[in-house]
Amino acid sequence: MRPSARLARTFANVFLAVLALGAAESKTLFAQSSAEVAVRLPVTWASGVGAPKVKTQFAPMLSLNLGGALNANTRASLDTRISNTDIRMTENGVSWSGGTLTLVDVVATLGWRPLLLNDHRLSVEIGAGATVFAGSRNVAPFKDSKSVVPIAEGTVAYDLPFKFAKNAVALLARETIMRMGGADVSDAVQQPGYVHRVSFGLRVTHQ
Amino acid sequence: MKIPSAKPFAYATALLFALSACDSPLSTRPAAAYNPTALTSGLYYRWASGRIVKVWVVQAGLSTTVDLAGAVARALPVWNAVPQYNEVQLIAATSAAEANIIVYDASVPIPVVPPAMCSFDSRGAGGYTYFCDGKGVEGPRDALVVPLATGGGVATVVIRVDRGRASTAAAYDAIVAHEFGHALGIGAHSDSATDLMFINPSIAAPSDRDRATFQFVLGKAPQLRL
Repeated sequence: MRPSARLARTFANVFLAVLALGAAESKTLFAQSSAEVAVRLPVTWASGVGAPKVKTQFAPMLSLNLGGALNANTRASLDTRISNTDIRMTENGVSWSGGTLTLVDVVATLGWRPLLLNDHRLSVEIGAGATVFAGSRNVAPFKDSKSVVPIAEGTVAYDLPFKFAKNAVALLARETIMRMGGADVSDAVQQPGYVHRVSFGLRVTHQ
Repeated sequence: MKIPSAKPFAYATALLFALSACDSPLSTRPAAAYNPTALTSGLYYRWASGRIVKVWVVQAGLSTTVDLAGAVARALPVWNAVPQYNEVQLIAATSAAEANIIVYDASVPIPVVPPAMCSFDSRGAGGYTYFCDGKGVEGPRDALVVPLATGGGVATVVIRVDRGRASTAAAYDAIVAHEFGHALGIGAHSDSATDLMFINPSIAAPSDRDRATFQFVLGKAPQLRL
């Protein structure tokens, strides 16, 4: 099993255990659902000498999160995110389209909040789950990879000092990593590595 | 209830992110299994990356016993499966006027008017693939388009196959698929009888060696653009 998959499985088990403990004792579980609107920055999925650089462009991303407080400072949620973006290849100074890629992330997150820094309320979240590839998958590295790939992510959220229709609003920055390549001997990405996806957005939490 | 601290997970995540920063996926193209320019004196030619290439089959005057359209329909997907980065895609044209590749059988008249500088001679083989190099131009250049005999369109590549020289329908399929290998950029014949690009092919789909050679060609900047 790959290190990322092992970490994701361990995290998922711990998350489920915490969730079960929390459900037994907390009536507030799943009481704080939230929605996010974000932009994912361009992502380099593969590059190499003698092969094209494969990138996706800026992508809008929507996320719905079901969660709740486990205690005063800890929060758990199950997040579902979807994004859609164009794939571009560049090689020998020529760029061309690889179609459209749709990503669906399902992530279990644990949030640690709030961290108070000079009256600024920050929260730190870590998550693990999986990305589902959909859409155009006729180009490497997507054509050779599994359709479901484990992911890990870290998020920093800053609580804005106002509310929107009585809902808490936060700015967030998130980095998601996943391992791609090396699926088999015919995989164009022979040397696997980590792909980093960075996104910035706005989250509204129902309270 | 005592909730476990998130700190260990946060530290583990930060460590994973830091370690992963210097480890990105690296892709490569395979090496060619045979010299893909043996017939073109070292000249690499192919369609521009990202190109959709339209194929027209000449049916007028063709005997109903010659399944050229079927052979082409079977050849397109086997070649379309080879590119790893959507460099080129073959599709059926809806008319001769919009076609980039014209395919005809030797039993019907040639459907194009070759320019004087490019002789489309045939010497009795089962298949030929023609395109016209604008010779005299240094550096990367475009192939000359060839006017159709009727209809006013032009084509870049012309494939001529001869059902009369194919002993079976399967052999005809192999010849058609072989010629598409040339039309896509393999300017060579393999010296292995198990390859589609062997001079007398016995299979109708690219072998692993053909696939590697074509993928290698797709990574080369073409000196002649089709």
